[in-house]
Formats: sequence, C-alpha cells, structure tokens
Amino acid sequence: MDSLLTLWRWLRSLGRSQAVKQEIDEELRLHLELRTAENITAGMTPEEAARAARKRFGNVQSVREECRDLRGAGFGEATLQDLRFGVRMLWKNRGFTAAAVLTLALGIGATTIVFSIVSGVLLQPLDYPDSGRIVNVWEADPKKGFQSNYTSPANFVDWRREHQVFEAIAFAAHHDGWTTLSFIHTGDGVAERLPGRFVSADYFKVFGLQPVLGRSFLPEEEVRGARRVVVISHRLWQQLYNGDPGVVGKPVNLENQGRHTYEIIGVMPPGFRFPGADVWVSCAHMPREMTHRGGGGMHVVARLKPDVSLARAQAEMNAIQSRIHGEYGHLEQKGQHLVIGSQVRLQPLLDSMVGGVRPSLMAFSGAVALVLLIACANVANLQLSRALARQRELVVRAALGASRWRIVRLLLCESAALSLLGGVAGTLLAHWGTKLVVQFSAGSIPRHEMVGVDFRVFLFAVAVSLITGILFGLAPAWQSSRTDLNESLKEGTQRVSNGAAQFRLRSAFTVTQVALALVLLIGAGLLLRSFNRLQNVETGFDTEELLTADITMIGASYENHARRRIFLQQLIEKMQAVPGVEFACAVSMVPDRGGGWPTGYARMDRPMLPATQRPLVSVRVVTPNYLKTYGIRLLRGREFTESDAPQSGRVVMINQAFADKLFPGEDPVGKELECGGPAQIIGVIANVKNTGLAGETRPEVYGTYQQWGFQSAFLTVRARSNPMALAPIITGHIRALNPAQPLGYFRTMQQHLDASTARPRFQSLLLGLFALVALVLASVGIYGVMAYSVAQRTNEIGIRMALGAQKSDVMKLVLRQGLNLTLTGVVIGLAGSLALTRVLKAYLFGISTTDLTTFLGVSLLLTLVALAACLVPALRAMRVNPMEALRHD
Amino acid sequence: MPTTKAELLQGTLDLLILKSLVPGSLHGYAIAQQIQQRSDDVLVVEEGSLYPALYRMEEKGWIAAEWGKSENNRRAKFYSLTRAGRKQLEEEMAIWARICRAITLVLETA
Repeated sequence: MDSLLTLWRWLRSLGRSQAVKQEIDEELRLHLELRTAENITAGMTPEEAARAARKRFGNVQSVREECRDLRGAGFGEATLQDLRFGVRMLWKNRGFTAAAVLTLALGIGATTIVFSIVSGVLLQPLDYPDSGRIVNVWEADPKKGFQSNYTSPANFVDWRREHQVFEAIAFAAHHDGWTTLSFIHTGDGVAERLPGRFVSADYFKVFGLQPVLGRSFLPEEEVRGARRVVVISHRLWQQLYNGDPGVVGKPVNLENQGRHTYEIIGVMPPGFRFPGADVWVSCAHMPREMTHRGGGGMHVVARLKPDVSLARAQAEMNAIQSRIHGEYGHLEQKGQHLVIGSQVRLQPLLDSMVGGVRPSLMAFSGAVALVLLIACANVANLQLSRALARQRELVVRAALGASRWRIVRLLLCESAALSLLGGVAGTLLAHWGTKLVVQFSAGSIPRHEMVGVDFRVFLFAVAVSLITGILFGLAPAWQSSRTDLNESLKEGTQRVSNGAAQFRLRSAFTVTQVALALVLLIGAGLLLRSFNRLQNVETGFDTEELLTADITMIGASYENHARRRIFLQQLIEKMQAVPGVEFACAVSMVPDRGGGWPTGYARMDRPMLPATQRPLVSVRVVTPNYLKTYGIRLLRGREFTESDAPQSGRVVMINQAFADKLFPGEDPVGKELECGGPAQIIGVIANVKNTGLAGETRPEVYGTYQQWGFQSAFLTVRARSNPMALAPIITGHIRALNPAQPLGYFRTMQQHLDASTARPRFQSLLLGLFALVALVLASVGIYGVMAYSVAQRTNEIGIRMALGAQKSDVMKLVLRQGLNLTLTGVVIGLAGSLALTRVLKAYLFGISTTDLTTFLGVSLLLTLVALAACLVPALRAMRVNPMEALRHD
Repeated sequence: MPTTKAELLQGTLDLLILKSLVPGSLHGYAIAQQIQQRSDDVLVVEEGSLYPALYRMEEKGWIAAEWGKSENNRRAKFYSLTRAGRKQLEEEMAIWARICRAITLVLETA
C-alpha cells in the first residue's frame, strides 16, 4: 500500500517538483540561519556559528534528498540521473551494446517482416463486404481426377434454378478463345487487348458491390436479344475517360466474333477487376448458348446465405450435381463424351487466391519463430555476462546505502535505454525489410499488395524482446540481493558463489542457440540444393534463343478455321524468311506447361470402350516446324508436313510417355488411334517436361493445325542469337498481315522458365537469410559465453601457467571447452533436424529430407564458425600474465 | 520491539513533535527548541531526522503546514495539529504510558 502511495505522490508532484525543491531548501536554510544566530548570541564568531550549526544538523544534502524523496520531488531527477548513467555505461561498453542492439533488431525485424506477410496475405479478409461468404463453385470428379473444373452453361442454369443455399450465384465466362472480349479504342484502328468477360446479371451481387456510377445489369438484360450494354472498371474509367462523370451512356466498341457497339451503363468501384477484366458484358451476347451441356468454360462464384454453413451448401450442391451427372453424364456430343463431374466443390474465394502459398508461409513463420528464440537467448546471455562484470560495482553501491529499489531502478534504466535502441533499430529494419521483401517477392506471392508492417506483430516482437532484455538486465540486482555483502567485498570472490550455476545456465542458452541455428541452416541448405537441382533439370527441349509471343486469333478476321490456318501459314512463311531466324512455328500452348485440350482416346486395333468411358489425354496443336524450332528429338517415324492437310488422312504424333502407356513394347508408328476422330500415328517424339520443371512428363498427343480447330496460339521463333531483337520485326510482319490482330507480349523461353522457378528461388533465399542471421546470432552467443568463461577462470589460468602450462595449452583448454558446447548443440540440432525437415518435404525437388551431404556439410560449417568465435577469447586467455592473474581475484 | 536505535527515536520523535504542537503552530526550528527546553536539555533532537519526520507526518495527515512569517520576518513553514493528529497523540501517549508502567513494574519487583 505504501508503495502505491509513493507512486501517487510522485505522480502528483511531477508538475510541482521544482517548487517543492525550493520550498524544502528554504525551510532548511531558515533552520540553519536560526541555529547560526543562536550560536552567535552564545558567543561564537559568525564562521564558527555557521559551521557548528551545520555540524549539528548533520548531512544537509542527504536530508535534503530524503525530504525530496518523501515529498516525491526527487524521483524525476534521480531517474533522469540513472538514465544518463545508463546511457553512459552503454556507450562505454560499445561492444556489448552493439551486440545486444543488433540482436534485438534482427529478432524484432525478422519476426515483424514474416508475420506481416502472413497477416497481409493469409489473414486479411478480401476487400468485399462479408467476404468470407464468397465461394468458387467448381465441378469435380475425384475418381476421374479433377477437382477444379469450370462448369458448362446448362449446368449453371440448373444450379441457379434448384439451389436453396446461396444469396446469389453467378458466372463469368472463362477466358478462352471464343469468349475473349477485346476492347478497342474508338477512332484508333489498332486493337488493344484489354480483357473483358461475359457475366450473368447478378455477378456483382455475389461480391456485394454496387457501381460507383450508373447501374449494373438488370435480370432481363441476360436474355438473348437484349440491348448491348457494358459495365467498365474503375481503372479503365480513369485511364481512358479521365474519370469523366458523364461517361454513362457513351458507346464503346468491343470485339468477339464480330465487332459491336455497347453502351456504358456503369462503373465499378476502384480495385475490382475480378476475374481479370476491365469490361463486363452480359452473357446474352456470348457466342455460346446457355443450353450447352458440355465443354465447361463457366467460372461460377456464389455468396452463401448468412445462416448457411459451407458444409451444408456443399452437401446440397453435391446432390444437385449428382442428379445432373446421372441424367447427362452418358451423353455424347460431336463424337466426344461430355465431361460432367459427379460432384461440386465449394472453395472460399480467399483460399483459391492464397491457398497455394499457405503451407510455405506457415513454414516461414516457424523458421522466424526460431530466429526470435535465438535472439532472445542471445540477449539473455549478453545481459548475464554483464551481470558478472558489474557484480562488484553493485555490491559497493549497496554497501554505500543504496536501497534495493534504487539499484533495480538503475539497472532498469540501463536496460530500458538498451531496449529502446534495439526497438528503434528493429523498427527501421522491419519497415525497410518489409518493403524490400514485398518488392522482391512480387511474382511469387499473391496479394502482396496487402502486405504492410503489421502493428500488432511489431508490438508483439518488441514486447518479447524487451521483456527478455529487461528481465535479464535485472539479473545482477537479483544476484546482489542474494549474496552476503560482506563476503562479496572480500578478495577472492570475484567469482560469485553461484557462478557455477550461472555458467551452466548460460551454457544451456548457448547450446540451444547452436541447435536452433543448425536446424535453420540445414533447412536452408536443403532448399538451396533443391533449387539448384530444379534449375538444372533437363527440360527435354533446347531453351536457348527462343522467343515466344501470344497471338491468339480472335475477332472478325477469323470467322472460321480456314482463315486461321491461312493466317498462320502465311505468318510462319514470313518468319522463316527473316534473317536471323532459324526456325519458326506455332503451338497452342508453350510446351513447358499443360493446357492441352483433354480428349478421350482409344486404340482402334483393340476393343474400344464407349466414348463416355474413355480415358482422357492432353492434345497439343502444332505447326510442322515444331520439333526443329524447339529442338525436340524425333524418336520414330516422321513429323507433320504441310501436306498433312484437312482433306488428307488424319495424323497425329505422340510422345514417348504416351507410347509407353498405350503401346508398351510395340512400335506405335502406323497404328490407328481414336482421338477426336480416327487418326494414324506417324511419329513418336521425345519426352518434354510439360507440367512444370518439377513435375513428371504427362502423356501427350500432338495434332497438326491443318486438321484441328484452335484459336489460342503461341508464335515461336528460334533465333541465331539475341532473340529479343527480333521482336519489332515480327510485330511488323504480323501487323502487315492483319492490323487488327491483338498481340500479346514477347517473352523468351528463359523468361518463361524463370517465372516458374520464381517461387522456389524466393523461398530458398528467404530461408537462407534466416539461417544466416541465426548463424551470426549463435556465433555471438558462443563468443559471449566463452569470453565470460575466460574472465571467470583468469585466476585458474594464471595458476596453470605458473605451474608450467604453455600458451598453447591454455588455448587448447579454451577451445576444448568451446568445442564441447558446440558439439553438444550440433548433436541436439541434428536430432531436431531429422525430426523437423519433413516439414519441407513438399518443397524439395530431387533431394531427400535427410540428405547426408547437407547434414554433414552444414554441421561442419557451424562447428568451424563456432570455433572461430572462440578464437578471440582463446587468444585473450593466452595473453594472460600469470603474475597479474594471481593477484587478480 | 523496535531493534535499531533509529527506529526507536523515530517513534518517540513523532510523539514529541505532536505534543509540542498542542499549544499552537510552530515552525521546524521552534519545535526542536521546544523539545530541548521542555526536556531540560536532555532530549536533543537529531536535526537530520526532524524534517523528514515532519514531512512524513504531514503526508499521514497528523499535522498541517502553512506558510507564514517567522519572528525575524522571514518566510517560514508553520505546522499545526490536525484533528487526526490529536487523536494520534492521545493514542501514542496511552501506549507510552502503558510501556512506562510496564517497565517500572518489572524494575520494581526485585
């Protein structure tokens, strides 16, 4: 109770402390004067009188201070004094201060950065009202192996009619050849490929958004024959109309299977461009009928009713889909069976955007927690070593009359100053670090624009570090209050009585640090090696000097397949003629990834399954020079030529994987294959990594452009050198052939591949950074403990030397102790790694989670670094002068 | 029983100060002189403890302070008894009397 009172007094007097001090001084001065006067009347001289008065009074200064303390006025000044002293001590021991501040900064900074990323990417809800209720609605069929398929228009219609669980359900037509809208500047003949989508009328209702200008679609505008109207995005509004408020009612030209004029009826709020569109048009004008029961193409989203759980909605939709599948699943269309899933899968919207990175971000959180732990252990270690150095000083202070509270306040001020410095450094690191990491990770992390320094996380990290710092900063006070004052002041007790216990405690800290650092280092090592392997993967084709460009053929100039064929044929001829081009071709999709057209297949020389039950294979459409352009080997037979025309026999090529699967041990060339129609296999080509670098090669069938319909195409040229330089020439030729051809951007094959390795690269770099930080911290920890030990044993070293030990013996002594600590930590760390690295299993390519080389190599590295950290204390031990040491206590 | 000399004096000092303020308000120096004179110069107040004691008692509410003019026209702080102080004084005097009687009793029996 008394201490509360004191606190209250202190608070009260904060403002008046100066006045209070003056009052006290005045009162005491009066007393002395009166005493002096009395002494003079008793016969003393003025000087004698004054002196006698003072003597009788006692220590004026200490009385003054005591009074000040009682009135609460002395508090502020004493605290300030302590703070100043603390700062001076910090400056004096720059090494210690630097180490502690660095440790705090790294711990706070790293933790804040990672958790800010986690918070921004994973935890921050999407920017729509009640966004947790928005779900993707996929068609799925686990038995056939697909989980996230777009559905078909007729299925959607049934869903919309029969469901009970959604507030709103709508679709956006998937961006493929026949539903691409391109937006054309009025007055400018050149087409600009601004994306647009066909959507159903209450699309925006699913997201809970209202237009900021105008209105969105009416239900009747969804019906065929309705007026052509369009809603545009905020970005488009700003960019092309400069935010003109009169934009509603203006006409725009959009092209899809013909060019039409649409009227703008509304503008959406800023930031909304789902699912990647700047213009939205009603599905009434879509080239596909809503009665179409196959072929997919509809990206459906829905908003759950407030009282409906995901599980319940899932169950109901499954029931609906099951009926649809039963009724239509066996039907055929154009010789192919309809792909209709037997189930529906509801996926929350946020999950679809970030689900892929969640596991790796969680792993990073684990790693950074380790780093924070190491940092705290380090700070504790450093503080404890300071405690030893100050033992004497504090004991003397206590002997001179400082109360326990006074001493604690002194240490608190110093710790607070240190923590403040560390906190500031940590803040700066967190701020710049977050910016840097976000910039660097832009390609690999979705929603990276949502990442900013998260204050809660920052406060947490600061709190943890500061608590550790302050807690262990008070250790000396706790220490000094336990030891007998008298004993400690005597000689020979520089070693405090429970020094052994302290050393064990600190050794425990250090061993923990080493173990944790080892775990991080091994994890980083594994990731780095895996990434290295990934980079060196044989893609199966020659990736050098290749330039690709997206030349998807849509629009009025390509009403039918014949026009497309002619365009491609002419274009490739022109390309071949360009100097600097070795070969040119076009493919429906660049070979390093999937995206082929899934088609049912069957051998025609065996009994064939009915069309609806046939397995699916991916079909890639190519032009004759495909193999030469990409440098893919032809294993058997021949490749396509221009004479493989629509009227001649249908031919296909297959890859080795497909040959192994369907024709094991046979020669497939010449055999007949039913695939989108009967065809003869004319060649087998070498396997190419067609599902990303880390994946297996999928079986594939190749068709020639003359005999298959397709719209999306990638022009590819193999240059003699410097492929990018050919880009303008190619653009010129394309424009010459068809000025209205929308042209995607040019990319070299290397850029393609780099994009697919962006994430593993980022992950290994980040973890590598953590591991490095951990290594530095652990080294500092080892150094601290060894320095402490040497200081403790100065006396012992002196004795040993006096008894004949050589300098090298002393050094060996120190190094052996350090090695002991390190090896203990390494062993524990290895055990921990064996258990923990399985977390990384999903990210490792071509390397096991217990790779011996990595484990051994990293352990060796850490041991060497630790020994190096012991070197300075060892050298210092060597330089001990035995005579000095013996006198030293 | 208080063990150190300082504590014993502190307890008695409070009692003496309170008693000396009964007739009227005094400033610190005057209190010290009062006690010395009344006790026939036996009790010499340790001046270093006087003012801290006064402040302590002021915080406890037993005495109240007021600035005024001293004999030689200097500004001085005058202390006076509060009602709580009077009560405290009575209590402490009772305790002191009891202790005295107890000690006397012990000393008188052989």
